Amino acid sequence: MTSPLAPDETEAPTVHDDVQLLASEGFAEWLAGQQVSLVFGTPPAKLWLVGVDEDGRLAVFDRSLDKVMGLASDGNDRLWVATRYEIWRFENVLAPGATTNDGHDRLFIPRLMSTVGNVNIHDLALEADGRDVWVNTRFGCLASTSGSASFVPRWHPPFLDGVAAGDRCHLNGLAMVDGVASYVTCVSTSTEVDDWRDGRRDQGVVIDVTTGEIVCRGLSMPHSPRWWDGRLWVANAGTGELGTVDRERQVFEPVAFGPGFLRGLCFVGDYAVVGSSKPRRGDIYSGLALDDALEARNMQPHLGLFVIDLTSGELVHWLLVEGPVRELFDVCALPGVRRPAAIGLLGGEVRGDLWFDDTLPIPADAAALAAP
Amino acid sequence: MSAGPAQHLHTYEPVVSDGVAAALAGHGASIVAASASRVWLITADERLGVVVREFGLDSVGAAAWHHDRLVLVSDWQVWTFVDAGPEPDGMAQHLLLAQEAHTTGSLGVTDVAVGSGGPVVVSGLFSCLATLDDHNSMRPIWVAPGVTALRPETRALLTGVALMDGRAAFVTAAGLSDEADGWQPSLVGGGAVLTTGGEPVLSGLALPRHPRWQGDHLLVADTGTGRVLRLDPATGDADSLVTLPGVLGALDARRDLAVVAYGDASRAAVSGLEGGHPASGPVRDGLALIDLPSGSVAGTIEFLGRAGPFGAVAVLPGLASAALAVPRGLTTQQTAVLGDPEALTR
Repeated sequence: MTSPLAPDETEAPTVHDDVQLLASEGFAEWLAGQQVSLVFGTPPAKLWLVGVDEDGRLAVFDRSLDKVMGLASDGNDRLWVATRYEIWRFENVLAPGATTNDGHDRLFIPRLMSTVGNVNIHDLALEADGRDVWVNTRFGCLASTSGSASFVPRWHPPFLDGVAAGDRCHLNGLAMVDGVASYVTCVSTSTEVDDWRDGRRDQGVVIDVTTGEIVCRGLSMPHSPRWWDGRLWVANAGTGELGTVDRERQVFEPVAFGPGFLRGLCFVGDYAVVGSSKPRRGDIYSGLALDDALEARNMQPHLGLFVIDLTSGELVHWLLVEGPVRELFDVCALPGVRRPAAIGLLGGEVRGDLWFDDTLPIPADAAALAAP
Repeated sequence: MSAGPAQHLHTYEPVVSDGVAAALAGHGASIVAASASRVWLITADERLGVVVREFGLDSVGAAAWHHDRLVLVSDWQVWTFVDAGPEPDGMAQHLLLAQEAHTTGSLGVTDVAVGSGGPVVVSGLFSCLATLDDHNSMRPIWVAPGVTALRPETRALLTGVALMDGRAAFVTAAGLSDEADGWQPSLVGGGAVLTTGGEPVLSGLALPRHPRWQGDHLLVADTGTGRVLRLDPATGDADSLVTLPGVLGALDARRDLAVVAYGDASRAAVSGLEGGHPASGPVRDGLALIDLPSGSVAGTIEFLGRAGPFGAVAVLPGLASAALAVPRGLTTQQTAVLGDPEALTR
C-alpha cells in the first residue's frame, strides 16, 4: 500500500469560503470513469457535492448546513442528510436526462425536515421500504423519524438496559444488508454515561443486530460498518485502518491504511471511498494507535476523502479539505450522477424555485375535494 | 452620522378586556395568532389570568389546528407542531413542538386547513388549492373558476378554504379573473364564496376570507365591511353575526368559539377597504373572541403598537394550558420525545 498525498500530484485547489479542496491528479478522471459523484459534510457548516463538469474537471458545489453527520441516498434521486438536530430529505427535481442552465444533472431541493432534537445522529440508512433508520448515539439506539415524536426507538444493544439519554457505549455505525439493519459499531460496551471514552484504544465492538451477539472485539473506535460484495467492512478509526471482519473467527483484517481518523465509508465498484478526520492533541481522536502509526510513517493526518483500490489496498486518489475544519462523518456515492447541485436553506432559491405539475385541467382528487 | 436618542420602535403590550379569561377557560381553548414577524400564543391561566406569549417566527400567513397538531404556514415552509405533552420544567400541560417542515417555496398561502389527506393550502399566488407533495413544491387539486394557467400572477385571489368531512368544500375569493392581478379592480363587491364544484354561494363581498364550516353553516370574515357572516350555503342566505371596528384579518372557529382579527383599514394588507362601523380614532390591532351560540363578542385582546395585521389565527380546542417551542429554538432542539418502540424490518 502506498500513500502518496504529495503536493505535486495534487490538482489546483478549489476554494469555497475559507475552505480549500485539493484533489489528487486523476481524481476527477476517476469520478468520471466510475460515473459517480460524492456527497459529504464537514462540520460545522458545509455540505459538499463533488462531481465533474462537461470538460471533465472537478466540479464542487457546497451548501451551508448545521453539522452534517450521516448521509444516505436511495440511488440517485433522493438524499437524506442528518444534521445537528434535524434530518433533511432532499429531492432531485430534474427530469431524467435534464440539466440546469449551469449543467448540473441533479438539483436536490430540501423538501422535508424532521426535527429529532439533540440526539447526536451518526450513520443514517434506508430500509428496504425506504424508511429511514439511523444511529441515535446519545440515546444508544437505532431510531427512525416520526411525524409525532422526536424519534421512534427501533433497537438497542442488549448490554444496555434500555433507551435513555446519555451516551454510554458510543453506538455510532450501521451496516445494512439487503435493506435490513444488520451490524452496528460501538466504541465500547460500557453501560455508564461517558465511560466509553475509557475504551477508545481497544474496546470497540461490532454487533450483529439480529442476534445481538458481538462478532468482533478489540477494535479502536470502530465506525462506518458497511456490507459490500459479501463482506463486512469496518473503519477501525483509532488505528487508521480500513478492513473487513471475519465473523466466524471474530477478527478484524486490515486492508488499507489511511492517514487520519477513518470514518464515513461508501463503495464504488472495486473502490472504497473513506472519510478521514484530523485528530488534534487532547481531543477524543488523539492518544490512539493512529498517532503511532502516523509517526512511524512520518505522515500527518488529513481531513478529506481517500479512494482505496480494494484489489490492492492502495490509496489511489484523495480529496483533501484544508481550512478551519477537522471532522468528516460520512460520505455517500451517487451512482450515475455526474454533477449534482442542491438548493440551500439560506438563499432566495428555496423560496422562489417552485416545481410542480402545472397541467390543466387538474386531475380529479376525490380524497381531497368534496366536489371535484 | 450622530447617534440619536434610542427609540422603542415596537411595543406589543396586550390590552385584555373582561371576558377573555372566562371565554378561554369556558371553552378550554388557547389561541394562536400570527403577523408578518411574530406569533402569539394566548392562554388562560388560573393563577395568572390571560397569558399572552410572543414568539419570533417569520411570515406566518396561515394556521390551523387538527387533532393534536398545529400547522403554521410560513413564507416557504409548512410547519407541523405536535403536542409533546407537559412542558419540561414549565407550567404548560401541552408543549407544541416544531416537529416537521415541508418545503413548498413561496406559494403566497392565504389559508390552510387540515383534511383527511393532510394540509390543504390556499395559494393566492397561483389561484389554486394544493396539497403537499413528497417530491414537488405542491400538488394542485383545484383551480379557481376561469383561471386557464397556473402562473404566479394572483389572477383570482383565493383567500380561504373550508373543509367538510375532511375534504375541501368551500373557498373564498377576493375576485375572480384570468388576468394577472385581475382580482384587484373588483376588490369591493367582487368577493365571493364558492363551492369547490365551482358554484357561487354568495357574492358581492369585500375581500371575504377564512370560511369555516360549523356543522350546518359557514362562518366567513367579510374583511372589507368588518362583518362576520353566518352563511347557509344551501340557500345562500347570510346574516351578520357581529361587526367589528376597522377591517378584519384572519378568522378561525372551533366548537362554540370563534376568534376574528381586526385592525385599522389604513394598515390592512390590502388597501382600498373601508372597514366596519366607524371608530373615533385609529383602530388597534386586536382579536375578538365571539361566543357563537349567543353571537356576542365575549372579549377582545388589543395590542398597543403595530402588532398586526394578523393574517392567521387558530383556535386550539382542549388546550387550555399550552406552550409553543418555535422551529430551531432551544426547546425544540433539546426536547426529545420518544415514540413507541417499533421493531426493525426484517
